[in-house]
Amino acid sequence: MPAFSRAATTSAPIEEVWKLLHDPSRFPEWWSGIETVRTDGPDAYTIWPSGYPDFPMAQHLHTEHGGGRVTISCLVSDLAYCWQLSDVGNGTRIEVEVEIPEVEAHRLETQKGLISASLQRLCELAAASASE
Amino acid sequence: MLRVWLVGQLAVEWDGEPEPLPSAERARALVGFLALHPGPQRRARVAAALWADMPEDAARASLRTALWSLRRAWGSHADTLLTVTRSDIGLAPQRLWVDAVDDDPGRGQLLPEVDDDWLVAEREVLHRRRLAKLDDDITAAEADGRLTEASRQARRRCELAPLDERAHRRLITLLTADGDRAGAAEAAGRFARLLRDELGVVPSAATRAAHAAARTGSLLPVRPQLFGRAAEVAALQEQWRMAANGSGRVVVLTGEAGIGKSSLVAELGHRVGGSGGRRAIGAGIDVGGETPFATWLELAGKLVRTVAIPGPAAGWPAELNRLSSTLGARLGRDGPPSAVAAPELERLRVFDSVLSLVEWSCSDRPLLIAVDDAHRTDAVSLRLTAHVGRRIAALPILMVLTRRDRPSNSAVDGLLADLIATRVPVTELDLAPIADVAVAAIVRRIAGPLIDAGLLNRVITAAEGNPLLAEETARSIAAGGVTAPNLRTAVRATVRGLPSPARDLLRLLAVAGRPLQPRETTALGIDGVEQAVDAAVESGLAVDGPDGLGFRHAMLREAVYADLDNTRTLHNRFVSALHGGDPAELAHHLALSGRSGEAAASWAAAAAHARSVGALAEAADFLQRATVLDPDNGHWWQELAEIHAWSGQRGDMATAFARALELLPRDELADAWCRQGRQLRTVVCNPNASIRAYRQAAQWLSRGSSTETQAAVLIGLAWGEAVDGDVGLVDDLLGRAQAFLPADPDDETLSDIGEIRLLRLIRQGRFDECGDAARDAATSATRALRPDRGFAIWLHGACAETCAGNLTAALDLADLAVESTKAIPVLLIGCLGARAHLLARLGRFGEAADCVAQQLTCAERTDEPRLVNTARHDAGLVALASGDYRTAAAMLQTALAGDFQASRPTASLACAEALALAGDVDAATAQLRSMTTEPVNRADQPWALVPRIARVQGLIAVAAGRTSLALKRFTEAEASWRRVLATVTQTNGEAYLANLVDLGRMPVLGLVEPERELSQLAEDIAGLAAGPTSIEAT
Repeated sequence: MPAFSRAATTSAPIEEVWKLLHDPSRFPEWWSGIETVRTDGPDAYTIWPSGYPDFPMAQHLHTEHGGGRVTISCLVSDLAYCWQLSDVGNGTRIEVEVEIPEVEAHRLETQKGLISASLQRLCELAAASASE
Repeated sequence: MLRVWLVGQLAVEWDGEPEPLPSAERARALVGFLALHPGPQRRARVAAALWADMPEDAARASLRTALWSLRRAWGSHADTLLTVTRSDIGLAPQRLWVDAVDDDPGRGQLLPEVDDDWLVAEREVLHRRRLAKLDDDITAAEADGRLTEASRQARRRCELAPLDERAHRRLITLLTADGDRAGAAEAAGRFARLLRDELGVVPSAATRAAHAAARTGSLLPVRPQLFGRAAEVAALQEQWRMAANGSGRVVVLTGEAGIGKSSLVAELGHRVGGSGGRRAIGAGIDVGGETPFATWLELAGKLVRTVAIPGPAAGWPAELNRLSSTLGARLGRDGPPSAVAAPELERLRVFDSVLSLVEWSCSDRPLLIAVDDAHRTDAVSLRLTAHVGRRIAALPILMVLTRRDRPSNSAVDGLLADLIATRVPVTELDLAPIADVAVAAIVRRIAGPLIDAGLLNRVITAAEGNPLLAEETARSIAAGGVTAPNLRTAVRATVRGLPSPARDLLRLLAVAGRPLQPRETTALGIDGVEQAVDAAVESGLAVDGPDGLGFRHAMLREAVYADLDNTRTLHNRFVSALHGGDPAELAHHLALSGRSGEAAASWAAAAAHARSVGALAEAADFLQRATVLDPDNGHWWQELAEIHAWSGQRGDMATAFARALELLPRDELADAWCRQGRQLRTVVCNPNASIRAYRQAAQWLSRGSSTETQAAVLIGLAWGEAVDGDVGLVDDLLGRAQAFLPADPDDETLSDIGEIRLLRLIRQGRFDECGDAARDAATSATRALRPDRGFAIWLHGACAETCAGNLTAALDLADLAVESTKAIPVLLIGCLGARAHLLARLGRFGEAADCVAQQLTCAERTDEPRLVNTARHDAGLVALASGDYRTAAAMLQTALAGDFQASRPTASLACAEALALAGDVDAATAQLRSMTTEPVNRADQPWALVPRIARVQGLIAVAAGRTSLALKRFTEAEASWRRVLATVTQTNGEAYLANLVDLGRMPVLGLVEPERELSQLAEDIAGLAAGPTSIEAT
């Protein structure tokens, strides 16, 4: 199964990043490729990819029991994004692992680009939120 | 029912109407014979018994004549009452009652007009029943302190068995204890004359000692003489003095076997009794003594005999009946306690009721509790010992534990570490060998003062300061033996010198492994058992005391047992003497008798008892033994699966259940899956798995399935659909279930159905309709005497009313929940939590604080960290709501350090909020950060955490004086709440049930209410304009 990971550090405190990761309604602000989000329930929501207003993709969000790991899985394409946050004193380290099913392997390079951009944007948005 | 009276006067009654009797004496005798030999009897056997001196043909003819007389007398009823074939005759009714068998044995003679040989044995059986009944009555009266009544019954016992020396000795002792010294002396004198006239012998030493006690009026039991332990006795007395003054403490006596631990405990008990203190001394027994709570059954049994009966408001005496029905009964509370379905709660109930008994026992005088041989005590008794021990520091209680120094016992070590950690004063006394001069004193007392000096020195050398070994070696010498190299040899020499019945008795006592009551000793079937008892006691190996006849020391029992070469036969004989009682003990002896099938059944019965008192580890152990002995019994595998479920061992549960499915007959699989569905519905709380199990059950239903099973499957399916399936199917399933239920279902079923309907309403978010539904269902549960179900339904009703915003109605229901569980603290805890939150929501902070304080007290009595932390969590939230931020932060921080039944991230945020409102910016920031590492589940409602974090950030900013940042955060929180507002209102019912499934607790705090949060934020923002102090005041 194709997979890749990315990591970055932001000056924002961990709670700032946590809020952004747990609030699907704000995904379009930083997650490249997501245009619209509709919340369907406590841990379920639907996204519409950029440029595909007629292509809803149901998602599932949950936190690993150990804490600090947020997994977001796409119920349509089986892509899984696992985000891990850690407090590094004066900022937050963000790591993301992406697993892509074999049938979607052709999306690997696109996903690498999208997630790198998203990670960068997440860091910037969290830092901006933290400022007074 | 056919009722036959044979004692005194013959009479027969059929369905309440008297039946005429034949006039012929032989026909009347025939009635008696058939009544005492139920079921069809061979004609030849009856004829031979009733006409023993006739030839067979004549006897059979006489039987026909007697039968004809009987038929004439009973007329049209004869065919109903008699079974007559060419080969057999008998009394026909299955429901037969015979006074000599089924009633109190009374006083008259059995069939007095009949003088047949067959009656001799029957009359002997009745005689023994009368003796056993009198023994029981005497024991009960003595235990209740009704000594005059006990003496009266003992006198009657002596009349029935005039040469029974133990009976006379007991009478003398009872009369002495009752203050009738003249009566005791007169009874002793009369018995001595009887022995002299009838048998030409004198009373035994034990009886002479009882006579001497009557003359001196001594009521205290004879205690072992101590040598060389003056320092230890003084130390124990000092500990007792401090404890009696209200500074409760624990003393541990450690030493090798036979070093004198039990003797010291006995000495201390004697002195405590003499100084007016109360005492209860129990002993750990590990031979057939795996019964859960065995040690505390003994201790509690001794306490209830001497304490005053508590007032009617006290609920704990009835709760004691969970442990043993005789305990509550002695305190005036007959009948079983109400049921609690979860075994862990049963254990907590037992713990709390015993703790209450101990507290009551020391309320009028100081108390000594001693657990002798703690290393032999069953595991759950040790846990209860720790539970009680943790609370004695402020009570007038001295707890003494004795244990051997080798091998080390981690359970006892853990208990002591636990007590020390909870700051209970613990003193350890290591018993060293006694001095040679003390050993010499022991030897001279037994072997005589003129013992040869060389021999004395050899004994001193061999004993190595061990009093028990010194004593037994001295006995061996006194009996004509030589210096024994070890205890076993010495005991063997002593036993060898005893008459055969006494040797037999000691061997059976060794097999029994515990003291035997008089009735049990009699049932051993030893010829001349009274003389055997006397000989065993006089040998010094056995003692016949208030606890029964047993070995003077466990080492002596071990020595006798080690010498046995026919243990299987002896265990088998002992089984015959056991009547009812403890199934674990019976199973132990059956297994050692080689009776595997019966042993397996008894282990299963023992497991059922262990489960009923919440001793899950023991229950699993017993069932595993049953499955080893009889591996093909599917029922026991299913029982084992359920025990694993209660223990949280899901993998083992699945394995055992799979094995049960392989072994159970096909026509029992529907029931098996149905039970599994119930387990998954209740214990495991896995609605999806429960539905799957009930669907399996439905597949195995057949025409032969009972209507109860058919209804149970449909009701189980309805529950699953209500909680986590298609809620639209619930009514249809319940309607179909009704077709299999009687027109007027029992209250338990009604409460079950009512609760499912309530859950359906909750799932649908129809909270306004829940109050009435809860009242109906809970009322049925109350009528069914199921407070365990009733309280949950009341709380569901209260939580649903809270969700509907009807706080006053919710409080009414929470009050009913509290009222219904007042006598069951483990259930009361959750009810108090719900009530406290409601009071806080209504602004009644003082009452709320009292309520959570009571909740915390109840929880702390359980020693269950999860319950204690949940109470701290609840207390923290009430303190936060009332503006007591420091207390709130402290309570929540303590709770968060452990596990509790509430959302961890939400509690973490509440703690950060309290710290911020208390002005501690750094601590609040750190707490907020730690919240991000908490796992988040559905019940944590993550969408609500995002705006709450923003608000707490705002409060921290306020505390730091950063007003613009605070405004930014509050505004962010407000925007976030508005975004989720629409979604939340659609998912309330789901969130409610997620709370139940994920946290195992109803949403007693209420569900997230975005409007209320927005209102709070509006106040926060308004406060910014007024200055930071107004935030502190909200």
